[in-house]
Amino acid sequence: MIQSRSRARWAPGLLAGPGAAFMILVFVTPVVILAASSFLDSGKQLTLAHYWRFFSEPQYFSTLWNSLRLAFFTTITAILLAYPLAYAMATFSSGWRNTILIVTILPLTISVVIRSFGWQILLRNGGPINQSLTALGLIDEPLRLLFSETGVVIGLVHVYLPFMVLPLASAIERIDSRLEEAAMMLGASAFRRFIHVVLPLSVPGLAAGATLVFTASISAYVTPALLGGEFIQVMPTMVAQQVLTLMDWSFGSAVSMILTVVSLFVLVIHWATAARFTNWASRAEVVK
Amino acid sequence: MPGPEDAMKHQFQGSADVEVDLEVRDLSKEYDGFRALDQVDLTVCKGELISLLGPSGCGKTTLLRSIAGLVDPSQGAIRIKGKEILGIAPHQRNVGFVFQSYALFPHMTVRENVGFGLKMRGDKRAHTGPAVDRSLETVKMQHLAHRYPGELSGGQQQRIAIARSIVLNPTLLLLDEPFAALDRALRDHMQMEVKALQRRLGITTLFVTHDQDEALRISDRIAVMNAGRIEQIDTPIGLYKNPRTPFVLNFIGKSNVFSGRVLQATEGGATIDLGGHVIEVPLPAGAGLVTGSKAMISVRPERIVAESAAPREGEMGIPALVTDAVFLGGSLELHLRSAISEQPIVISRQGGDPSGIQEGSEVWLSWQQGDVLTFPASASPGAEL
Repeated sequence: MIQSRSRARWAPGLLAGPGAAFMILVFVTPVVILAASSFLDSGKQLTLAHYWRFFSEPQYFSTLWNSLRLAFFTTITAILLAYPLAYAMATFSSGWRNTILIVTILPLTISVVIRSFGWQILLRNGGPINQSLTALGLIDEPLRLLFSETGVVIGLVHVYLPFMVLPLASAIERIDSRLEEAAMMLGASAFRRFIHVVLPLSVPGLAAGATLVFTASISAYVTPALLGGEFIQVMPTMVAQQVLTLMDWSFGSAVSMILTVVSLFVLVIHWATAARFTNWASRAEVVK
Repeated sequence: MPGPEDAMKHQFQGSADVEVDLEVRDLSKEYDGFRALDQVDLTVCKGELISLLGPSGCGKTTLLRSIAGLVDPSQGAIRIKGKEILGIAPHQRNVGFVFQSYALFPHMTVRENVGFGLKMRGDKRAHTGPAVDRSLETVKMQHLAHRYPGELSGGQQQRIAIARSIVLNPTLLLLDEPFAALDRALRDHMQMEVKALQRRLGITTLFVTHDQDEALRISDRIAVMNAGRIEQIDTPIGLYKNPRTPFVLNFIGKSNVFSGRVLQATEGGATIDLGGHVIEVPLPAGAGLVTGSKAMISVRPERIVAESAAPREGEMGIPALVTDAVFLGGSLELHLRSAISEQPIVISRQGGDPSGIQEGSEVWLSWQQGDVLTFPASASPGAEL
């Protein structure tokens, strides 16, 4: 008994050890090196010049704005597409639920590079989408989908939709169906049942999904590079350009750090507000 | 034997014209060939507290949910205050529903929960209004109005669920297994509290339970349900004294059951051979017992008398051996073995005074003719519980 209890104390540490060591090696160390190099000039002297350069030149600064805007639109689009899907998943019978689940996560098994090339074919001026729209008489000129923000958002939504659907479906699934019945008995229409009961109770899943999709799409490289090309410059493509093409490691590091800070900022907002959105749940835990 | 309508009138003796709040007529519900409800009839008067009692799967919850509008019956009629409500939206039936799990909105405070129905009716500031205060006062929960449901105990949650329903002044209050989620001590307390509340508000109430003690404790009348049908509706006393079927007999209270053979059946009575002892039993009309048929005889534990002295000539006396004497405080329970029954016979003596009878004593059992309930032996499907 005593033995097993003492084992239980160090067992979690032991189990977490390899993972933690790996994360320190591949995440913390590079970030520290990156941070260090972003504050050094060519003579290894401390400097803020790289950051000053980023925020003083509109060309660089607008890249950050591009990234934020793309991540924002991707997140909003993902929410709008994922919510009905997640709701269906949570309320359908297990057969349908599994079908939707598989259809949702199946694209994850295909490389983002391959999918982006696929979208290139679909989205280009003479591609199937523009051809169909022209044939239907909906447009006269082909829409500029490829190498535009629209194309990048479409590609990003496709890649990150599962990260929105899964937490959302699990949050909706946890909502007791009798709450909706109770609301119905009290006179709430289907729309008001959604607004007053389902939506507020799914906020934890919504917030988790939005944070995942936002941070993932703001740091995505392949999709903006292949679907935006030179026309859509985002933070990750700028980092690659600075480091790989221009060999400016220090400025590339500074841009990386800014991107990392933005992502961390989003995470912090999530942690800070999640507790507020769900104070009823955390307070309930204390009683139970 | 009194029918349900008689029992109802009996219950509300004195009031010249009894107002009927709920009528269920010929109600059936089928799920993929399974009959959850089978031609159910039920009449509930204003102010009555009726329980739907039965084992799980007997259709009691389906009946309740049909009245609420959460289930669509396959056929039949439901009228509230004489008005047909099938096809009317649940919230327009003027029915309050308290769920087994209470189904309080976890993200709303107590006040917002209680005000929800009023808010849906267009009163945006309802949760701060006087109606919510009155409702919370009724269930003595004003002091916890700002809390979230998760911060309340089971009993408190139940009160809020009731407050949330009664704030809309429903004609009918429906409760689905309202006490099942509470622990024993709290359950007894809440049963009495809900009954007192129901009396005070005079609100017609229907509640579902599988617990006979609960049904006996708080109901004006009990509808015993089995396999989608109402087997019998009567007052608790009426059901205990005059169960119409073996199912009801077994479901309400304890009973000793013996099997015997009808030696002679006449109008109003029969002589029955009970393992060599010939006893006389009264026979209600239509009991279905004929000479030579097998009969099921039942006597309640407190109706059997055990005496140490041998019976005098011509008196009833079935010899039995006391195998166990259990002192239960207010009463003494004797377990006996006798030739007339394969099962141990259980009798209960009020006062708990053993008066010389103990384990190993040889006694003679007797009972009054009127305390015997007799059923045809073939009519006992579902009697085994």
